[in-house]
Amino acid sequence: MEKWTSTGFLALLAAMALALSLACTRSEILLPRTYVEWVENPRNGLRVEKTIAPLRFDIQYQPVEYLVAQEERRETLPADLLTERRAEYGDELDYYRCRIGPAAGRQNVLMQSARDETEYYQLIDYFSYAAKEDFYLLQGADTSRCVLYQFVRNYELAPHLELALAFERKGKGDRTFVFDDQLLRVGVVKAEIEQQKINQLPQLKTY
Amino acid sequence: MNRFFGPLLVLSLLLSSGALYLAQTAGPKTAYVDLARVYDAFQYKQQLEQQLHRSDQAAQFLLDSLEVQLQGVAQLVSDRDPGQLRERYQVLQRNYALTQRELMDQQSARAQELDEKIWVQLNQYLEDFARGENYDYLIGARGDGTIIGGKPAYDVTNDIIHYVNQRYHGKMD
Repeated sequence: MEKWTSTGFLALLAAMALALSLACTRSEILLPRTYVEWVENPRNGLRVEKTIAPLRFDIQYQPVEYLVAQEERRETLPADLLTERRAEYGDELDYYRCRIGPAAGRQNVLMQSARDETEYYQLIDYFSYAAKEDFYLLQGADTSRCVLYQFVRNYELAPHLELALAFERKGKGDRTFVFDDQLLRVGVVKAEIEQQKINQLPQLKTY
Repeated sequence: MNRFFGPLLVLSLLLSSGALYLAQTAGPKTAYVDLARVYDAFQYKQQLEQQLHRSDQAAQFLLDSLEVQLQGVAQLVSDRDPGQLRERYQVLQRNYALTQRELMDQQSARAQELDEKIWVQLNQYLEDFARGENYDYLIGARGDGTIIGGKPAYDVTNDIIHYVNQRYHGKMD
């Protein structure tokens, strides 16, 4: 009887451990709006904010589902639409959004960084074209150059400047987003996105 | 139940006043850091130093090739030669001096620019470290007599070296 009790106790413990591990590995299923909020929450590790005074860098890793949810702007998404949009994006690229803003205050970062009008236009020119070469992604021993780059002009209506970027994906593993700044006088800016955090991504709810 | 209330109240009063006393009498949290060591061990500084070294070498290579040209012409020129060769020698000499000065100015400006980038990042990480570790004072010992000595227990240099390099590589943001 005693033997049976201890075996039963062990079986119960094993069942509890299994349930716990299943609970930990099973990702949540979220509606588009909540999914976007989850991805944008820095605590979930897909968004890294880094201050190097006088600037603040805000780097957002953008899973394809996040991009689709943002573009479609619907309360719910049909499953076939998501499949179609996923196929359009493919799975060869890693997408990021990089915002560069002031560490304090609301002054536009281009106005803040430029010492005169010439420098202001130099900065606009730099971020429109040349800066693409100064962004790259480190994955283990591999370096991915930026393959898609867009300077999203806001005509100084917002204090930050915004860049949309994509890099060739080189397998799985922690990624380090790198900006080797040439004009803002802050030097190399790095932000790490851990693969473990990407693995914890919730699923996007569809119908 | 009521007979425990009195002693519990006294005990909690004693504990809270003790905690208050400790909080008031404990000094500010202070540590010092050897900034020269942190600067030297900062991996961004080491990378920029290598870049600067490579660009120094390229500049020196350019100057060396100009010098070889200059020496080649100098061997052919004599004081009695008033012709084109002397004129060419003088042009080369001026060109060499000019290039040397330009390269020195460029390298010096580049070194200053890189140094500024290093300190912009280091200052930020030091500030973040002090705030994150809740220091009231984090004193920088620059090796110039600001701090003559201190108990090793107050030296957080190694912690800071680890911290700034982790931050530079984009971790722990």
